[in-house]
Amino acid sequence: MSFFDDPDINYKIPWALRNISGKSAIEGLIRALRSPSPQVRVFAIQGLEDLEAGEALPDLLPLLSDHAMSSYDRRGYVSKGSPLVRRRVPPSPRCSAHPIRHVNRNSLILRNPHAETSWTKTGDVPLSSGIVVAKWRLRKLANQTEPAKVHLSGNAVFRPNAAFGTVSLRITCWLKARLATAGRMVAASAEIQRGG
Amino acid sequence: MGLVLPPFRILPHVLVVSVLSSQLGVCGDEQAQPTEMVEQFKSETVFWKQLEIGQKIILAKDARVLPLLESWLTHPDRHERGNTALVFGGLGDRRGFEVIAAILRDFSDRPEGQAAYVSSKSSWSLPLQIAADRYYAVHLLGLLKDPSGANPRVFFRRP
Repeated sequence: MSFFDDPDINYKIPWALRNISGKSAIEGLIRALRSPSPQVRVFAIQGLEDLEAGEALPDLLPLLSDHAMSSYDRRGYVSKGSPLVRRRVPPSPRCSAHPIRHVNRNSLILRNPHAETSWTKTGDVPLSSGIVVAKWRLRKLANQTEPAKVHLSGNAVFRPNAAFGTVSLRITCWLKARLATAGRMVAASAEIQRGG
Repeated sequence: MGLVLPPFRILPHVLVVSVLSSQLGVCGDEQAQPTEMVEQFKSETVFWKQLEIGQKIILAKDARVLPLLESWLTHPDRHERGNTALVFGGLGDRRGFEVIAAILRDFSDRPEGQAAYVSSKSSWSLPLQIAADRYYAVHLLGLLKDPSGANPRVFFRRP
């Protein structure tokens, strides 16, 4: 049993690990991602982002289907969405069809157009703080790990009024921007037209 | 159900600590000698003010003051003990980390200390005191920062 299971202090540990930093701290934060407490998981994601821990991307991936609610969202930037989520719709299993199919240090591969369309239709409401923060952090982490292999499939429809639904779409839009910066936009567009 | 939501009952005082810690060097007597600061440290009974003084002592980088504080490593008030340990750890003495890690694992009986009150109307209880002391220990470990001063693996296994 670790202190990550201790409800008296576990929510504080990610903050301490982030401050301590170093490889062992990142290892601890990755462990904290598996904490039974949603709040600890959200704090761990934040800590990994602050430490620019690109090696945590594979461990962050399962959190994309994490529908648990965190009390953190009452105070954080996700606070606008989560109470809405609680009132309206319970977590939907369809959210597991998130648009990211595979993530590791070198690649971030999105799903096929149909899966992504399905996700974006349902994704603007039933997402909870864990998944939203995870996506947000993934985007930043991916930005730092310079994904060398990117498959863009499906047409991202940016929906600025659906705050939660746009998180994943922001990932897509960001990937396009990155590719354009790298001078590979033409190749990516061709890949999109071929269907990924 | 006394400890259902410890984060929000204990967190506020730590936020105060965090803010004050970030303002080190802005307020207080910056010209004081390390030995004078040790006397201030000992006479201060409010833990977050004491922490502020302790961090000034660390910034002075004079490890000769440590013998003056050695007996405080067993202070019955875990907050004051932890602050003392932070000074030790911050000045490179391994005992600092060990004492804070021990507070983290300490569930033993103790007298009334600091930061264990939910509100001004609430009454003291041992479980709340233990939770507050252990929470503060985690905070202090985070303040130690340097991996050589605070081993993150202390969190990996609970006794």
